[in-house]
Amino acid sequence: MRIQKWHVSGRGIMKAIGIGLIVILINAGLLVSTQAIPKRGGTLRITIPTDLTQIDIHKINAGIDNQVLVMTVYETLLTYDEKTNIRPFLCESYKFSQDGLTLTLNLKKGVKFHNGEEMKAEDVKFSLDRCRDPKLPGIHMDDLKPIMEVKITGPYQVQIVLSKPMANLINLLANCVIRAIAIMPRKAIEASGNKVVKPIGTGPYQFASWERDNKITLKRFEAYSSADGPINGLLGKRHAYFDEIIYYVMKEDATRIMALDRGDVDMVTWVPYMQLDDLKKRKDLNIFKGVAPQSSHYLFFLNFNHPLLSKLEFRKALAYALDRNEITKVALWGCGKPSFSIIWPTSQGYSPEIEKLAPSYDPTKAKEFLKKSGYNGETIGILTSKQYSMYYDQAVAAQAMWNSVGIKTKIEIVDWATHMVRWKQGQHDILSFSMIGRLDPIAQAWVLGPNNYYGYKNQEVFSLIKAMEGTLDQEKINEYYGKIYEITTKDIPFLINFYREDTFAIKAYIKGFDKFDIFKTRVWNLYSDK
Amino acid sequence: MTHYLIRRFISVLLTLCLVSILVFSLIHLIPGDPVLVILGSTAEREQVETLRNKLGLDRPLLVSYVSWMANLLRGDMGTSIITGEPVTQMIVQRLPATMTVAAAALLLSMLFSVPAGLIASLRHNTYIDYIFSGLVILAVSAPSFWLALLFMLLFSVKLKILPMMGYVSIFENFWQGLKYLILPALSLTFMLGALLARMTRSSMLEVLREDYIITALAKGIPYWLIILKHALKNAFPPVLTILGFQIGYLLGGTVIIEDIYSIPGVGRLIFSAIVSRDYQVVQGCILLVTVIYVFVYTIVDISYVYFDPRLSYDKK
Repeated sequence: MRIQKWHVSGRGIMKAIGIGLIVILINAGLLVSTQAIPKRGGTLRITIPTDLTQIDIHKINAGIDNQVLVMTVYETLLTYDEKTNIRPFLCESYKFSQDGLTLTLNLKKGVKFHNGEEMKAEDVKFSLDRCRDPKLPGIHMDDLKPIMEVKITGPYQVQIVLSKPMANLINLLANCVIRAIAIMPRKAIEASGNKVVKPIGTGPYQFASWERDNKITLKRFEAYSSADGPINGLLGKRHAYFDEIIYYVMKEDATRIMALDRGDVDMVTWVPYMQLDDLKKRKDLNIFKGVAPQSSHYLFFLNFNHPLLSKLEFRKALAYALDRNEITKVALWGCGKPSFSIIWPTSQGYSPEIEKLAPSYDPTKAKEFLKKSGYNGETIGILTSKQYSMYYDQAVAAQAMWNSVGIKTKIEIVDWATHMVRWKQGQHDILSFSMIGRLDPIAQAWVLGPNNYYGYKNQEVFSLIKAMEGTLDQEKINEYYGKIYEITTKDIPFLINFYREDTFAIKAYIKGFDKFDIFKTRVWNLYSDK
Repeated sequence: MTHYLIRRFISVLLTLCLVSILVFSLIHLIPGDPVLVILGSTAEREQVETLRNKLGLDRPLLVSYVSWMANLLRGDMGTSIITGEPVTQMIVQRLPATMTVAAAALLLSMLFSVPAGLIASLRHNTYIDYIFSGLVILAVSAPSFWLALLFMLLFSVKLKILPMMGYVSIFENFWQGLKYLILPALSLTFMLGALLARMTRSSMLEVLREDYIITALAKGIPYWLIILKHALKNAFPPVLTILGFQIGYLLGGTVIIEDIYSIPGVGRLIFSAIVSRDYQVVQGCILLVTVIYVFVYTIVDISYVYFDPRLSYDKK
């Protein structure tokens, strides 16, 4: 038998080794990368539905101002990670004293403001004092009342001294969607007479210009130094890939979508719900929608000074007559989460199970409770506004449902300013309204507290809120919060219908947007691969 | 003429005084609280009271009015409750955009409407006249916001030949500014032009029946000279009246067009000030609109003399 000998040359061996290595490296994904490398440059163009109201974040409450300026231009001491846990951001660490009456914040070193100054303890003290200054008036002059003093205990350390434990202090320091406590440079603000002439912060983008009713332009801050490390929610390195960001003010839904079609903008916020299905079919767009932690919940306030609405049986009749799924379809084209819960759906304390405690759609039960309440066919007013179409749409849907069980109602439409006044003064029967969501149970439960405007008085709920305010134990807070929710399912102080989904339409060449960005869009992590 | 101008000036002052009282009292009487608009739904009671005090909104109305008038006489229209900016500055920033759009819309409408009305009158009761009447009805019936969206869809989105929205001043960049003006001006032209054309036609029809036109024809004066010099000139005063009204209307700002095209004009400012109960801005803007109307009508009244030499404001 002949044995064939294989002659293998040295060159051949080297070739084989090389090919083998290449195969191994390809499998390891080191040579052929499927991930695009983000490139810097270009302009990100975003639409917003209304113009800024002001540029002084310490004075104002408008969500749009926070959306545009916070975490782009201004930054906060604490912020949220991917799971909305609160973490240090402009500080390296924070710690409460044993008795909960002092919060020590150790600031990061080398953080630069846009004017080149370094952020120090005096700037943090100045910002904390300013936002609660009644003469300004600061946006936090009421809820930060427990702060007795902000002390500078080192060039990079401040201490917040409290008159009583304040459970939601860190929530307030981390707020970035609304009522943010932005850190501003003391010297620059004082030099301009305590006025913000131009926003100066520590963010990855600096304020360039504001053309009223037209656009706001931000430019990359090249010396950005606040954050580093892997991206984790709002933590981590802020890359600022785009050279500039322009927010275009476009009030009309049709105009926003046309601008997207034309290529004049790259991202549309507040996409009209009725167009979502059509837009989803397009290959040049990515559509994102979801209930964010701060999403508004839409509800009916019931005036407890009204002879009928103060009766539990009547309120139950109203509650059992409502089909929240249908109301959500009518008001939001289904783009919302039907819910009765004051605990927001993305919260750790929420589960779909808790909705079972709430009154569900049952017209038969509604009629039974209506009979027990002694209702004699009186007409109940529903006050609403068309400022946000959902207010009116939910009122119309509810009117039909209440009518079907025999409850007569009449819708009264007023303008927004009148709507606000009548809400504050309790001049309504049923009020169609919404509340902005908070990532803070204490703030979320404010509407049930002693300062509510619709006359609800439940001492047990007040005690639970007080107990929440007086502890720093998050588990206890969640426990009290759960109990408050249970009470609302029995007492029915109001009728929550749904949590609205936020919607985004983004050009397919814009990369980096994911589910977290529905909560707070991290424009500094977005890039174009056009 | 001097006496007329002095009398006119006095009546303007009285008008402005009356308008100031009316607008001040009306805006303060309607329900709504600007402090709540500023502070939003989560504002605490104490915060609301503090801001109300800071903005002077807790003073008696008469005190507020007198204070506002005193400042106005010094040229100070006050400060916006919502933004804290001087009202004068806010108006001055926005007026050029509104004036540019208004001027473009008027020029465009006159360019088409006056010749169209003229031709329709000369071809009275012919097919040209009937087509003209039909087009005028169509133009007046089409809402300007609907036209705006249609034009945007056609010229900006489908054909991509004109920008969709925004504003660039023609004084900064003429050709760029002109591109941004075309669609807003076109959206307004239809309605404005229809009214002007209709008035031109009916006014011309009246004048063409006059004896002096027949005399001019009999004298053998060229037809085009009779039409343009004798007929149109005499027919123009009523057209001028409509034009004056339209100038005032446009300079008050057309909110919907400014909203759709994102033009930072006076119309949008007035609308958002009313919604947010920004009293100072509303008062300032309404007064501005009044001054514009009064000024324009004075010019129109004086120019009647040019078109009709029989008129005179001198005492005899």
